[in-house]
Amino acid sequence: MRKPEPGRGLVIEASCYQYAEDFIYVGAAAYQVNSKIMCCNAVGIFKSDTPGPVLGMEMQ
Amino acid sequence: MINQKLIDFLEETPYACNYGTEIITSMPETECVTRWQNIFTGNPLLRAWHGGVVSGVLELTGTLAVINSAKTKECVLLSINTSYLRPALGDKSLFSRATVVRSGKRVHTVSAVVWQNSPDEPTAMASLTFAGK
Repeated sequence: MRKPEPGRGLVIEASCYQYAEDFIYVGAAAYQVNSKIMCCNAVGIFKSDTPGPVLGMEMQ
Repeated sequence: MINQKLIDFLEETPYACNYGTEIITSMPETECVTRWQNIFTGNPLLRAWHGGVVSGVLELTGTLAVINSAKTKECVLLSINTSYLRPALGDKSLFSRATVVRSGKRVHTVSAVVWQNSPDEPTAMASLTFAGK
């Protein structure tokens, strides 16, 4: 949506909005530090119970 | 034969340099190869490419296709929709190909695919839109 300014960091907010069967639905958005203007957003669908590192978070 | 603009873009863009992506051909479609690096590991248990890197390679190949077809060096990614079809195994290179589906006055629609063993067994594919100037 907007080009982030070079030299400034990004804050990423992500949340899981649905956990159905083996699939985890996640939405995320990126903002510049100290700004409420969104630079971009994303939606991802992850499959749970696949081999991988333990992330230390249990989902209900 | 490879478009010199594409080689310049890869050499001048720091994030593209990190991928180490090389152009195989730019005619009739843009095809690249990205060789495995340990820093690309997403899942240490599977020793597989990280999905973000795979998506990045798709985006980079799509960008090169737009630069090649639209004769522009300025294009901005508007959206990318990536489908991960198979695990991308570590120690093996990723081959990528991007095709410009439609090039309008301002928006370019691109289709891109990556594979390891054969183009008939794609690892991931993406639909991308770019804004060009």
